[in-house]
Amino acid sequence: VTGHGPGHGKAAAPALTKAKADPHQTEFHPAIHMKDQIDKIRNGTITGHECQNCHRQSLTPMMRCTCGSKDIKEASFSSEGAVESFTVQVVASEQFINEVPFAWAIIKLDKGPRVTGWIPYVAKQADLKVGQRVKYTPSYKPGMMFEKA
Amino acid sequence: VRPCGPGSRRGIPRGSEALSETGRSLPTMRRVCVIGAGSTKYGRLKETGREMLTEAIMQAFASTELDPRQVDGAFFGNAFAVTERQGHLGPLIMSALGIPDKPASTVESACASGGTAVREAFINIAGGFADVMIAGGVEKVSQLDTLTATSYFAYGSDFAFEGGNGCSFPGLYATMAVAHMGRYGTTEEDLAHIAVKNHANGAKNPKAHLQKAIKIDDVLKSMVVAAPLKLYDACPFSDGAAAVILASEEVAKKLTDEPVYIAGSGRAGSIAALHDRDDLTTIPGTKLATQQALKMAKLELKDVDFAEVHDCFTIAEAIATEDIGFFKHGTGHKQAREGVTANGGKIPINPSGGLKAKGHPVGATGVGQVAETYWQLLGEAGGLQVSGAEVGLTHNVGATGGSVAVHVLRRGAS
Repeated sequence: VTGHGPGHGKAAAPALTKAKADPHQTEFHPAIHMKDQIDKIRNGTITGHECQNCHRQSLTPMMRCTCGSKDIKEASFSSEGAVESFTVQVVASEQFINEVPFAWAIIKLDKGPRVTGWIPYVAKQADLKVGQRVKYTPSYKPGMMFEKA
Repeated sequence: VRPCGPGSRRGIPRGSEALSETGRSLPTMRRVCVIGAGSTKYGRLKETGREMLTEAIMQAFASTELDPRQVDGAFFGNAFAVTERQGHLGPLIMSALGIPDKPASTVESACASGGTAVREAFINIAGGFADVMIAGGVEKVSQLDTLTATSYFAYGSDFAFEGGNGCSFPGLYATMAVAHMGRYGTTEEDLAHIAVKNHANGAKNPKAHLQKAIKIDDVLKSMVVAAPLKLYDACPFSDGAAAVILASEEVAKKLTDEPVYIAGSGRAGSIAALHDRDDLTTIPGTKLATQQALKMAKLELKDVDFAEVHDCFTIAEAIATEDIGFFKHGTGHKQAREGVTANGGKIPINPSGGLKAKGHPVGATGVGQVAETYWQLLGEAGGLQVSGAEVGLTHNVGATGGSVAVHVLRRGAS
């Protein structure tokens, strides 16, 4: 049996280019570290990444974009957005045991990508609606807390 | 590129017919069969993980005439063994089986660990590195309290951006449910029908964690876990182990005239963080893995007689059956209500009871799906039997679809 293995029939993969990396390099790529990003978010500016080619944005690490581009720049996003989907967490993981019940939401920022965050004082589904305007509120609490705007 | 893939011997190029148009050497895949299967009961078990996995493998060997010494190696799906203060499961199990010289590794792909173990064992045989492999899986979580278990499960998400912002595992699927409801008008009652159907199946499965038929009201009135998902929308935390023994066609044909083949194997991924995807109501990896598996099997979806799909939550079954392609997007939630997915319906989904009722011992789940499908194709599924089953599909998902494994099994060769 030949010719039905994985990869057969697909377009040719991009040609291999000779690696230019220094094999003795010991420094991490500066964009690998998430600390700067997390610090900026903690200080109130939602910070992430934007592909300069296709303009896909994300908070999650993006060293290369799904479009293939390596031209990724840090980007600041707006603090306000709208709830796109949410749940009410009654049972939560250990960092959040003092916060239940609360909403965990997927939020589309007005100028920026989707992010996730938690919204306090939501005890049941009727307490929040898809489309609800929310604003990022940095606090001493864990994670990214949003409040109804 | 020199053709030095597994099909060639010691790097010596084979004939030019083995080269693709791009000059890349193509694997000459060998056919792979399932020749034995075993499983513990799923539920709250008193045994440890190593005891459960050893038992499942012993059962699998008892179901075949093969001597364990013919095994070339093993892959075990497992996610949380360290919570039992035990890692490095592979050699423990192989030593107990009397084959300590044979290599065994644990593979972790969250809830798809089991399906991934099957895939890796398949690749070893298909690629010519082995003739007989064990694919096993085990999970032991009942020693953990709910808070600890919830925390560990949340580590399967992109924790810095999902779990760390407060979501639990049910929370992730709840947001998928809300998105599906918003777009397609899916109701909590639609989802409840999926739970009722899977419990009806699980009630007949002696290995199931929850062997109890339930009613729509039981689901709708159960405790909210992560709104809109309730206790009976969710699979239980289960202990359990499952194992299948895979062999090359050559070995299998010495043992049986009509082997069960893994005719197709597919593995794909999706963007790890749910919120980074364009659409919350679909898992792209499911589509890709299904296409791969069907293409390899040279089968179409209409050839599939039944499927064991990853229904960690009721909404997950609705979405899985849409992404696999059994139903159009936005209609998966209606099928249980209309009896289409019941055993005896047009396309039985989760005749074993699924994760929902049979249970979800994380690392074992994907292996258990293959075992259940194997028993179905042999006609040995007892009260769960899908009549006339010749082709079955298994679908195993890690987290919200970051990992997906799909296998297509068929009775007899094509």
